[in-house]
Amino acid sequence: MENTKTLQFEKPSFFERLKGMLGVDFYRLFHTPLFYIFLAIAAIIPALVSMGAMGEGETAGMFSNAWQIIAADNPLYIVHNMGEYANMNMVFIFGGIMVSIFIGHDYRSGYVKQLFTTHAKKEDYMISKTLVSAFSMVCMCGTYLVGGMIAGAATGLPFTINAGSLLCAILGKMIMSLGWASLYTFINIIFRRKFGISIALCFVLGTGIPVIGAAALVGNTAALNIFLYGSSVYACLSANLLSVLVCLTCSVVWAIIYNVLGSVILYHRDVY
Amino acid sequence: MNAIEIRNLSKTFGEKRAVDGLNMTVPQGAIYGFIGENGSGKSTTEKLICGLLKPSGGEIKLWGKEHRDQTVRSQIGVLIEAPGCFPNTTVWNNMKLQAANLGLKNEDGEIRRVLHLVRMDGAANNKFKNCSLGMKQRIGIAFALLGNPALLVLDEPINGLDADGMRIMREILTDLSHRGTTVLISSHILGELEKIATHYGIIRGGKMLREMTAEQLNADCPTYVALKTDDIEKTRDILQRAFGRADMDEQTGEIRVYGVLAQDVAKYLFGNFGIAVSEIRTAKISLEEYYINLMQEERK
Repeated sequence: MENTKTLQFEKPSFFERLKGMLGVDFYRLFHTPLFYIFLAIAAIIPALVSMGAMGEGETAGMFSNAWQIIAADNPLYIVHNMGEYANMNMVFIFGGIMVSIFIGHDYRSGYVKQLFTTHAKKEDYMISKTLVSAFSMVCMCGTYLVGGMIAGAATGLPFTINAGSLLCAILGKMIMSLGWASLYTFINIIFRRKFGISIALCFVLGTGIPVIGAAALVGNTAALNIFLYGSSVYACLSANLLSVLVCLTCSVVWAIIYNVLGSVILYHRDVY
Repeated sequence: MNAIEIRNLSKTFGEKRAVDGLNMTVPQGAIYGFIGENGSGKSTTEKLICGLLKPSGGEIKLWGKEHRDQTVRSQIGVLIEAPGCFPNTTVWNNMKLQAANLGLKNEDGEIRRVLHLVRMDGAANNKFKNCSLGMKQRIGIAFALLGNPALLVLDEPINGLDADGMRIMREILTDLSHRGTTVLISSHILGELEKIATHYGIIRGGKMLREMTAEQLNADCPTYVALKTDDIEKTRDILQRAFGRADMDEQTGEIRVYGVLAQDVAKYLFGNFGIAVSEIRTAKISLEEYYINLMQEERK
């Protein structure tokens, strides 16, 4: 038997690898009902929030301005009422659940096994998941914004705002999607197939409870902006370009940290 | 050149040693039949080779390079357990996704080629979850063949295949081997493996028990004459005295005599003792029998 196969050891570039992986992940995102369900959820949340505000009891009258459904007036890390809490930040709670299901499906289907037997690198996987998840959360922010405007109009609240601040607030929150997505991807890498734990943990962290707890101890300090939830709160209706810059820095730094940690874990543990 | 060279490989899961100082050599272009009992460490070894598990010790080289080297990874096609497909996605789209991950240039043409190879052209538009077990196995092979890899690692690929599916699989693997592709294949269906394998590795308790070529196996598996008579016990005693060794096969009720010709045995029994042979055939120890005997010896 004459074995004539000529071996060609090719080394695909980082961008070639990432392009392929992003293509797969975006295809999956757009071809799964999960994405659209969560877009719809993000659009419905403002309606539920504003319905609560119109009712009686503690939540009644918690908004005086329709844009407060999108972001709080000021960066308040200590929450005094639901009005200060219930805004676009809630997208990140549901975003965590979506990311957990999305990555969990990679493991359940065996896709991860198929992927890591190719030339794919672990860091490519982290980056691809982070970017796709961030994109999905930006989209959720978009549908939340539309839902919030409709809900605000339906409740008859006034739309009074400094347009620049509003834009900075929305932009800041959208930018924070990157940091949140990297955190959720990291959590899912730790727990892998136990994605029930991942969902629970993403939910808890997404609510910002640890930062709200810290704020109760240290007070309403801008130092909390070093955390994802802190910066997400900082992107409020009094935001300016500095707020956007803080959000960008915080989001990118955490994204790098979580991506590096996630890659290290993937390299040092069994994949499947 | 060896496609796979493993030295002193080990893998532990907690207290359990799944692979224990394994040595293994798979030459380029071989069809390497990887055999062992359930839990012997076959799948773990394959997962280690594919980079899905991290070795606890030892080294794995693929074409002389470290097995995690990115350049050699692009030369491997894998089917371990079931193919990693999304159930609600069509076969075609699942393959498109894998082709994208592999960075293939002519995706559609390549997918058509591999689906045709495994005779699954007609199933491209089926959702993966609607495919039968046999179809899924063939799709898994097609997945592994994407990009024309130089090494195929196949874990139990013939499970769930019907007779025709097995024949197709044999043809594909033999053809690939002739073109220089190395195939590492584990299976419990030893009869099928025997038809295609050029090399064998028998693993037990995470250790390589025996490695050999098909020629060496052939030499270790003698031909014999199997026969039946009306008085089996008496015949056996006679043949034992005459030829030194005559074994009784409990399952078939036949007597086996080694290193003789069938006509000589029949003539000897009838001519000297008036014993008529009711059935007689010449056969060879199969891989399955060889393996079972080896395992029995090891258990002792």
